[in-house]
Amino acid sequence: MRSRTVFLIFIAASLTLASGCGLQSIPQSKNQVDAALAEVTNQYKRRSDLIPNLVETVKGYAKQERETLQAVVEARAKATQVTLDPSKATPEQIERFQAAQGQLSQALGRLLMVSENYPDLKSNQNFRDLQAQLEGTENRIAQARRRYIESIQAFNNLITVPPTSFTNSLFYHHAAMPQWGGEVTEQEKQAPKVGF
Amino acid sequence: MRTLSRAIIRGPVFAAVLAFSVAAGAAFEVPELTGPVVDDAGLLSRTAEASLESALRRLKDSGGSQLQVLTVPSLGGVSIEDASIRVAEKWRLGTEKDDRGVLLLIARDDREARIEVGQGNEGDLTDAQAKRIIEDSMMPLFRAGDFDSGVIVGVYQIARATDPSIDIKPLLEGSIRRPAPSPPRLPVNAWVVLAILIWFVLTQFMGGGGGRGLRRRSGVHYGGWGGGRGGWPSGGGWKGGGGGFSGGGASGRW
Repeated sequence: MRSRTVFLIFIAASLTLASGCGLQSIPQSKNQVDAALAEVTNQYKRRSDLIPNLVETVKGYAKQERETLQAVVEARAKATQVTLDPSKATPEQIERFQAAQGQLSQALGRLLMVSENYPDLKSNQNFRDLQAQLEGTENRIAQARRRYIESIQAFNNLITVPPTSFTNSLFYHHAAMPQWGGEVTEQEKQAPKVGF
Repeated sequence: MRTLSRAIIRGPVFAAVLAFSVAAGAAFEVPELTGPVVDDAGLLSRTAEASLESALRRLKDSGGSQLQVLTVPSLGGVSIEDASIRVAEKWRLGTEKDDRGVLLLIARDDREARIEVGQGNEGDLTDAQAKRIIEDSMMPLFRAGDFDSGVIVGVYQIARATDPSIDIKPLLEGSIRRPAPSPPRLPVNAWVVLAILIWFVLTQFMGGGGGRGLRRRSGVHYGGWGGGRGGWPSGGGWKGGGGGFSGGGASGRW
C-alpha cells in the first residue's frame, strides 16, 4: 500500500517534470514545423492549379503575348517537378523548392502586368474571378510562410534555450533549423538605393 | 491589377517582413472585442450599428457563422491582409466546432476594406465571391460616402453566402434611411444593390415598423459574444494547416 503511494507520487512528479522539460514539447514542436511546411506546399499547389485556367483566359484576349504566356507555363511545369516531403525535407530541397516557386511568381507577375494593357480582358468576369482567387491564394501563401517561419522559431527556441535544450542534447539531438528567409526577387534587387 | 502583380513578387518578402514586424510589435494594435460590431472609426450610424448587432447575434445564435464587423481609423502602416489575420487570430473568430467565421475589416484613413474568410466558410464564400461583394456591392456605396448601406449590404451578402438558411434581412431593414447615392455615377452592378435598398425601404414602410431594428435589439440578451476556439489551441496559440484562418478572402479600395 505504502509503496504504491510512493510509486504514484513518483509517476505524478515525473509527469510534471516531463511536461516542462521538453520531452513532449520538442517532438510536438517538430511536428508543427512539418505541418506548417506542408501547408506552405499545399498553398503553392493551390496556386499552381489556378494557372492553366488563367493562361487559357489570357490567351483568349492577348494572343500576341506568347512569350509571357509560355514563360508562365514553363515556370509552372518546373515548379511542379520540385516536390517536397515536409517531414523529410532537407534545407537544400527547401531552397530548390523556394527558387522554383519564386521563378513562377515572377513569370506570373509579368503576365498580370501585361494583362493591364487589355481592357477587354480586364473587364472579363472570368478573368476577374481568377484574379481574385489568385490574390487570395497569394495571401494564403504569405500567411502559410509566416506560420512556417514562426514554427521554426518556436522549435529553435525549444532546442537551444534551457532547460528544454538539455533534454534535446540528452534524447533528441536535433540541430537548430535554418530560418526560411525571404527570397530576393529581381524587383527587390533593382530597388533604388537611397543615398545620403 | 498592378497591386496583384506586385503582391506576387513581394509575397515571400512580405512574409519575412511580416514575421519580423510581429516580433517587433508593429504599429497596428488589435482593438478589444466588445461585440459583433466594433466601430472604432465611427463610420456607422447608431441605427445601422444596432440592427447589424441584432442581425449578427441572431445569425450566430441560430447556429450560423460568427460574422464580425470592425472599423479602424488607420492600419498603422501594415497591410490590410496582415491586420485582418491578426484580428481574426487574436479574437479567435469562428464557431468552436468548425471554424465558421468571417471578419469584415474597414480601414477609414487607408480607404481599404477586406473580407477575411474562416476555413469553415471557404467553400461557401470563395475568394472570387468575396471580391465581388467588396468591389461590386460595397465599394460603390463607400465611394459615395454611404458606409451604413455599404456595410449592411456587405454583411447581408456575406451571410447569404455562408448561411443561406438563416434569414437576417428583416433585422437589417430598419437601418436603411438615407437616400441612395446619385444614380448616374453608379456602375451597372450597383443597380442591383440599389434595388435591394429600395426593397428594404418599401417593406419597412409597409410593415409600419419605424425602429424595428432597435426594438428587436432590446430583446436580445447581451454578453456571450466572444470567439470560439477557432481551431487554435489556447496554450500554444500556433497551429498551421488545421482550422482557423488561412488568409482567404478579398480586399478592395474605395
